[in-house]
Amino acid sequence: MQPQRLLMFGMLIVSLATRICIAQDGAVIGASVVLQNGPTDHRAQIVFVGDGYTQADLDNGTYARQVSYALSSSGLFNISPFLEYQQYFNAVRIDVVSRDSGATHYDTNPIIQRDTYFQSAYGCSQTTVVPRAICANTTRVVDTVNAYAPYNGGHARMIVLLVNDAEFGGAGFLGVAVVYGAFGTFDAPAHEIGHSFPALKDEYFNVPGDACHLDSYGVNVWNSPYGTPWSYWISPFTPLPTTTTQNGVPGAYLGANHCATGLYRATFSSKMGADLSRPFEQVNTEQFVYWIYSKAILFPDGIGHPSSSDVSAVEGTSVSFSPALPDPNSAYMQYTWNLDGNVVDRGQGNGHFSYSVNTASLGLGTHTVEVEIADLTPLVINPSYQSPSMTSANHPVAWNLNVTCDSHSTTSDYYVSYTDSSGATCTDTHEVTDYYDCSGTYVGSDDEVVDTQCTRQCWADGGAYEVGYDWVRDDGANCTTYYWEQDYSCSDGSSYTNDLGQGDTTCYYMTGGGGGGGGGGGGDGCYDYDYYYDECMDEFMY
Amino acid sequence: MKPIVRIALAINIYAILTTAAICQTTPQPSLFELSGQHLAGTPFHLPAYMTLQEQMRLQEHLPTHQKIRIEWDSLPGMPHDRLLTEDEVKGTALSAAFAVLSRNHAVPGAPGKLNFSLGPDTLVFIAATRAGEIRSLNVMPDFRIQDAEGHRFVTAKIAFDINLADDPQIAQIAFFKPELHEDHFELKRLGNLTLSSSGGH
Repeated sequence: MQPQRLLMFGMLIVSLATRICIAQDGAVIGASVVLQNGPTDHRAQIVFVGDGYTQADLDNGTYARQVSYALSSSGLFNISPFLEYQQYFNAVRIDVVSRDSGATHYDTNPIIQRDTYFQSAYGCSQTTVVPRAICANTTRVVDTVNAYAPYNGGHARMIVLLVNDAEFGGAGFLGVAVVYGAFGTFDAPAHEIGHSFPALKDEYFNVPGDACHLDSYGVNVWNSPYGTPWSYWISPFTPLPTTTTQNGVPGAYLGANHCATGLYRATFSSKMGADLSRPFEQVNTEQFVYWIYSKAILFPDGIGHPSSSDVSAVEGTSVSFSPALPDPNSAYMQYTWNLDGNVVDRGQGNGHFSYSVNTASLGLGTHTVEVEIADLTPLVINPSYQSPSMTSANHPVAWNLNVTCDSHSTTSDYYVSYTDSSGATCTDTHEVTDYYDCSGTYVGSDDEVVDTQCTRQCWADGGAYEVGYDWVRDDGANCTTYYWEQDYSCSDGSSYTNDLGQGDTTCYYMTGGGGGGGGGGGGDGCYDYDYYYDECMDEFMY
Repeated sequence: MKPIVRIALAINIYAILTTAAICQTTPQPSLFELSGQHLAGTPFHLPAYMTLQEQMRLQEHLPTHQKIRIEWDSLPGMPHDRLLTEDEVKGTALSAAFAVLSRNHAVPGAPGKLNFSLGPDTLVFIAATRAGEIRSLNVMPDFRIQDAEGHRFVTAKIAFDINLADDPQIAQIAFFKPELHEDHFELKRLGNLTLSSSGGH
């Protein structure tokens, strides 16, 4: 996710719950939406829950930073297939205060006991200490998530319990991934997420302390090199068992799920194996994509455009349709457009995302426009995974297009001038609309005055007259200047006075500082400085 | 052989091999997906007019659901204040001690998309009418189990929520544990809960 977007989501954090549950070993503070790519019931929802964070740990931002990093482009979304499917995820962060910071350690001598809300413990038990593993009260985790980020029907949920401890560790229990909070990269958390959601098995072996169970196999680990659940990924030229050390070659490699013999893994090295920096590889990646689709109603997000399923259009006009999808830019999304049950367009990518139909080619009445959507990503090649889960088969997107006939109209204007009762000259603009039925037969008109413009008439009430205005000149002389004015009355009852200009004056302006002969007056006793009337010239001098 | 013929032959062989590589195996429905075959091994049946896919579609589109909180004392007599190790529970049969703790009707939203994936750490529940007709079902994690590096730890007694169709005809809920037998799962029945029709329990 882009930093700007993260910031935006950070700023848009919305409190989902305000209830505070007080427990002896801590309290749930509340939940915040930290990533919102779409409606809750149409996304996979990652729910982060923290354990071993004291109020001080929450206050100094430790937990919030770890969650932000997990959701950044360096975290989960740097790893395929989360990278390709990041628009399919929302995320919620549940803040929980624990009495103690950190986690219990059964893996140390002496044992370190911590009082935390979800009772996270390295080593899992006092009697059987499992190195690197963190167990927790997962039913309490699920109950907390149910209370603060309720499931509402359509979404998949991925619960990640972050444990506030610097020691490497984690565990992937079905439904809840437990991860140490101080992860440097997101590889270890992604490994645990692989256990918890697509139910992937470990692909490593020969690790001291681990327990081998030959009856524990699944979608990525099998008890025979033949008939593996992922056999359709294996080229016929790949020998079984597979011995190559080349990465990215699906086969059946001896050694998996803590057993050096008797179990086979799908690829030589993947993120479910010992090298966490490796990609998930084909088989595990396919399981992830299928998990997302099989648990969440991902598309459509809604009806799309037009936003109503009932659309009306006049014959001859064009209407454009497009579905609402989490990632309409995906090059692998296939759209099959059906018009009245007949395929009119099919293809992958942006070019087929919308469909435009000119109603001139359709008959009057109701037509059905439907789009079938299918994600044909090469990350999934098992057709039983693709359909119906990765299609819109269970959630068809369709519009009823009602084409109405072109019962058109024409408009024209004409003007009527008259003198109104006040004597003003007025002009009305009339707009005439002529209506024609579908066959073109004239069926009637509307005549509406859409504008009126009037020009008032004014007349002089009498002749021009002079009005004197008194003023005091700089040298203290009392002066009077006369102006010519004339009164007018108008047809709308208003009146006004027209200023016709200056008439006589008893004295002119003079300057205050010219002095004798100043400013080029030249000894004529007149003053001709800027902006003042020259008494002698009787005009402006500049 | 003329060079042109040789090239053409090589191209044909390459094409055949490439096609074979792509179409090597026709994928079968996943071994891990709940199917009608699994249900056939239970005393319950889908309505005659419905496939499992159609049940899934129906369940996805329901406007409301009911939420039932279940308590399961799976290993009575065993301590339930800590995780039990494999050795501690070895040979102990899972009990049928399921009990309804609470039941809420008309909860907004669908009961959810059917989660088809079976696994040893999952539970299957089937909600049915008195006559055994399936009205809602799902696969869910068995939250009792914590598998850490091959070591399985168990919580003896848990409480968990299930979401199912808010169908007044639902009179019972049965719980099953998928058991892996070589290359297929079989549903082993754990126990039944009888629900009252009044909405409580």
